[in-house]
Amino acid sequence: MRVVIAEDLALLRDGLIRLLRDTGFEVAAAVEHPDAFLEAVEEHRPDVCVVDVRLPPTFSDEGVRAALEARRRIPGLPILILSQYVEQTFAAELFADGRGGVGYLLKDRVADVADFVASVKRVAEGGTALDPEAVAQLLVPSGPDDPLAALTPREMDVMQLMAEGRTNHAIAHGLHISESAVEKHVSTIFGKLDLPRSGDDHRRVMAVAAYLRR
Amino acid sequence: MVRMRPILRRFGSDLAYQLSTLPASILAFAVVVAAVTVAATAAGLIIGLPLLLAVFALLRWNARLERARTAWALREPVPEAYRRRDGNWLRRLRVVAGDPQSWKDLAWLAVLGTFGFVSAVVALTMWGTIAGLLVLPAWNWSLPNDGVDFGIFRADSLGEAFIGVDIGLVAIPLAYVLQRWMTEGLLRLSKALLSPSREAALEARVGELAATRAGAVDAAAAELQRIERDLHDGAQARLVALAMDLGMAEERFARDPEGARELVGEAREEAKRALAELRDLARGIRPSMLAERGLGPALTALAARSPIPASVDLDVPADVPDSVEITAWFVVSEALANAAKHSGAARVLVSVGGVEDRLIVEVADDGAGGARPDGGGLTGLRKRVEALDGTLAVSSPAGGPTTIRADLPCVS
Repeated sequence: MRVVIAEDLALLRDGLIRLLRDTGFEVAAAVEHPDAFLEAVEEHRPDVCVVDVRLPPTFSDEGVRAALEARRRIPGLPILILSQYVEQTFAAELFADGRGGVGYLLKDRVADVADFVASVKRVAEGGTALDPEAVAQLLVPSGPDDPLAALTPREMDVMQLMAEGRTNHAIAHGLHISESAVEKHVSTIFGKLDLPRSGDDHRRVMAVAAYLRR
Repeated sequence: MVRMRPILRRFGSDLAYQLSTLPASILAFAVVVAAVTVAATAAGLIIGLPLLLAVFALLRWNARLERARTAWALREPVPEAYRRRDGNWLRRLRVVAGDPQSWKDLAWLAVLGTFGFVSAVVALTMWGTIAGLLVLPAWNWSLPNDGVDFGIFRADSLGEAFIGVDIGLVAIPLAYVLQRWMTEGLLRLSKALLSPSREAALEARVGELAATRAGAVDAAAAELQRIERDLHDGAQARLVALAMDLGMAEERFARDPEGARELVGEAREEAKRALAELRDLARGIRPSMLAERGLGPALTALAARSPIPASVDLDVPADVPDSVEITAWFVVSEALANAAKHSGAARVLVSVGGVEDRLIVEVADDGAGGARPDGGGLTGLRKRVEALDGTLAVSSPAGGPTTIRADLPCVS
């Protein structure tokens, strides 16, 4: 799998290159500037991009801007955004086109190499990866009338993992329950939240993400 | 017995003032006449309005001159406070015309141009006449036969000339007292008219405080931003890299123990660097030496760490407030860092001393100069210093040397 990296800090850029090479990716380009990133993306047409939120010149949200622009030029281009903090509006903007192939993770997650690599691969395949912390912030019921408040704690756990972009299989593994139990919970959740049902993992995640963005 | 020395000194300074009043009053008269004439003609016309601004500028220039002259005569500063002028010329004109100080200036110039002139002429004529009388016997011979006419008497013989000397001697104390009154009167009036009223002085002070307070807030915000960036780019990034190394090592242990060991070693180095960066950052926020040992030792330690050999000349007063100490420390820290980065200097001298109730901090290097006082670091420093009502002076001509001097009031 070919990947383009945009990260301004040399220390982290080198670390990412090493980590991704080590785990079987081919690093097509590693750049530090948003403009260079857009050029690299057009040139290499990578399978997935890993982009830091803060890039020069102002180090505010250039990474997200560049990611959105890249996806405008190449629709559906898989992009995983790395961020030092969870910033709700970034996640919302990234997931707004409803296409999938998007990820938003805290930088800390790179330490769990297996998990991180799985997230990169999931995004590359058109899936999603939303940081657990971002999901936790989204999953707070806005009031007693919020349908989220009607979910049981177990259903909340399933919802959390589902919103992170995990498959039924991964959810079952993470919660130590059977896959059929997961399917049952998912079905109840969709019923309570009044969401269109779908067997497709990715479309299901997008439905959840869309619901959480409302 | 009347002590002569103070009286002589008084006489000297009064006479000097009256002497300076002669040209000053002529100038003031000309300025006032010109101002009134131009204003009277210009006020009626729209195109004349900008001219009014020029008239006020002329009056201010003359008033400044008078402030300096009064300060010289009184041996004490005469403060100046005008309302802030900004915006387009029409707004400025309105501010200037509405400023009571403008009219007080005009009043003083008018008094000076008339009564001041009379006073100077009287004083000079008086002393000229007295001087003439005192030495009358010496030049009596040169007079034509009918002698010299002083109005009240005629001196046409040597005997009468000596009477003139007596009259001159009697006139000295009278002239002295009259000159005293005129001088005192003029000086009091000029000080009253040229100094800002209590209200205007307070107004000016409030404006100044508002500006420095905004500066302090800016400086604090910039400082927070710097800390956040330092954390993000420094310790935080190192910790992420460290976690990444450890994560990769964990993955590797089974298949490649040697490679994994190497990664763990790198992770440990990364941890050490993160610690060092956090320590530096903490020191930048509040240097621990300062809290524990005081300004002198903290500055000595700072100089010892400087990449350019730095010598210190410290005479730190005992009771410097905390806020002044930390600002002084930052001035030296920033100046040393700048010198190391840009100046190419071979030596730096840090001197700190108390002058009355102020702390003077000076950092001088022998480098290439050319430091911009409006550069990022120096602007931040200036805001810090001004927040304490101090001043920061930067002298850095191209070719060097560079001297940065902070003057910090120590009122706690």
